[in-house]
Amino acid sequence: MSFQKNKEVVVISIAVIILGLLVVSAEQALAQELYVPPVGPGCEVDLATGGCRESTVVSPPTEPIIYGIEDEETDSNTNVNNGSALEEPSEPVVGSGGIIGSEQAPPVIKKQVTPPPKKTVAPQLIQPKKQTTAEVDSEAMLEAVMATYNKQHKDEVEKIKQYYNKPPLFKPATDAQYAQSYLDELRPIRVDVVNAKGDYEDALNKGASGSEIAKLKNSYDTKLQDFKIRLQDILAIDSGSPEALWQLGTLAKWEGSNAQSYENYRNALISQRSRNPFKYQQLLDSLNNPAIKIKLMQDLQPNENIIEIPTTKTSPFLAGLKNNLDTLVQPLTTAKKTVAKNIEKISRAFSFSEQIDKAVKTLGITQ
Amino acid sequence: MKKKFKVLIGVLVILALLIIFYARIPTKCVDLKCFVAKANNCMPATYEETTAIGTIDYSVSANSGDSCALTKQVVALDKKENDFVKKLLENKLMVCIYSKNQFNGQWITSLIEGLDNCEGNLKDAVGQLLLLVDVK
Repeated sequence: MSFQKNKEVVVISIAVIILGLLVVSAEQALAQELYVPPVGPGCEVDLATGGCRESTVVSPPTEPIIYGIEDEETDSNTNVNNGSALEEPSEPVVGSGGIIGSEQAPPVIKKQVTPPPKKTVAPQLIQPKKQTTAEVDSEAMLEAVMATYNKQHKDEVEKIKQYYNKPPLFKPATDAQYAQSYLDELRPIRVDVVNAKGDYEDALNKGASGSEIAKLKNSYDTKLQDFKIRLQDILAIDSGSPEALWQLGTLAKWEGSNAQSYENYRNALISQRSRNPFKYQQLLDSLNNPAIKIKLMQDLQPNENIIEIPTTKTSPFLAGLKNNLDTLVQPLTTAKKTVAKNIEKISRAFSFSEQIDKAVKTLGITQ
Repeated sequence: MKKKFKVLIGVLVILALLIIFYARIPTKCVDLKCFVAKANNCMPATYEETTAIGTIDYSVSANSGDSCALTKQVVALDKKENDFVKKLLENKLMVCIYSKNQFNGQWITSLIEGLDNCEGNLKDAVGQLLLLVDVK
């Protein structure tokens, strides 16, 4: 009886453990089903992990514009056609990636019509407000400028499209869609640049031979140049593309300076302001990077009250960021300095040798 | 007799459920060493770090298989922090995916290193702020 009892207890215990294991595995399976991989634009799904493939991970903002100072200003319309949304805007919108990012109709100035006051005035006495000559003129002028701009812009975009000789992914294709398709091509190139950069830096750190370093540097520079040209073309098509702007930030990081990135934005903005002053503000508003935005606003609109730009002195976070960046580039800087010193030593040695030769010749000494 | 067995089964089931429940509760680490050890083993854990920059929350959870996820969230920046930076970073987070035993300590020690495997609005915001930093 006692043996029978123990046997039953053992059987029940095993059953309970199996039950527990089943529950755990069922939960894991459920969690796996419910797990949503962080897939966004620029993320190629890795079927093995369910996440982004490492080699193709780029990080455009998953939510097109909802950062910083734009949080309160941005409505749902401002997110349309910014490089990640593919729908055509139903009406002219602000923040479409700027003037170059849109094939949308030019903004129409809506005339203000006073609604008839109720009860107090007889309806037949109310006349809709007539457009003044000045209003008609400014509207006509706006349309003329827009027409000129649209033509210039269209030609420019066509040239780039022909250069790449790539058919549109969707019909009718928007500039944002074109930009997106070129971004698809840019991602593997980015991986190439990163690899080339890694090889070059490794060679520097390991103290490889001069020819080896030169070869790797040349390879890196060539790939970087290709990347830059393509990125500039994409930004020319859709300057508001979050992914393209992010890639621009990456580029700046590779180049060791953000100044270049900022200059790119600045030049693009100034050039577009001269082409279409009416949409200048819209383009500025459409910039997704609030840091660049405030810096540009302060630079291009100095008379307006812009919030204070944070610096490493006023922001502990930026100070920390700078510290991290300095640490990151320090080995590279040291390696570069060492190479420069060695080159200087060699050139001095050559110079010294030349001086000896001259002296020998001058003195007429022969061996 | 049968009643006793039923009670025994009930107790064992409750015990099993408790074990499962406890295994899923993340360990609240009080130091970095504890957190990194847990994270490397892909065991659920949380860690809150307050530095001169501000308070940052870290948590680790297990995905399917050997895949693990680190979530890094800026809870609050220092009081002295510039308002613009605060608005840009506070409550933003990013998720870094890694394999078991391959936890990258730089995710905690650095603000920018090791971000290639991370995604999220915190990463984007940090990337945007790079413009405002002049590197040596």
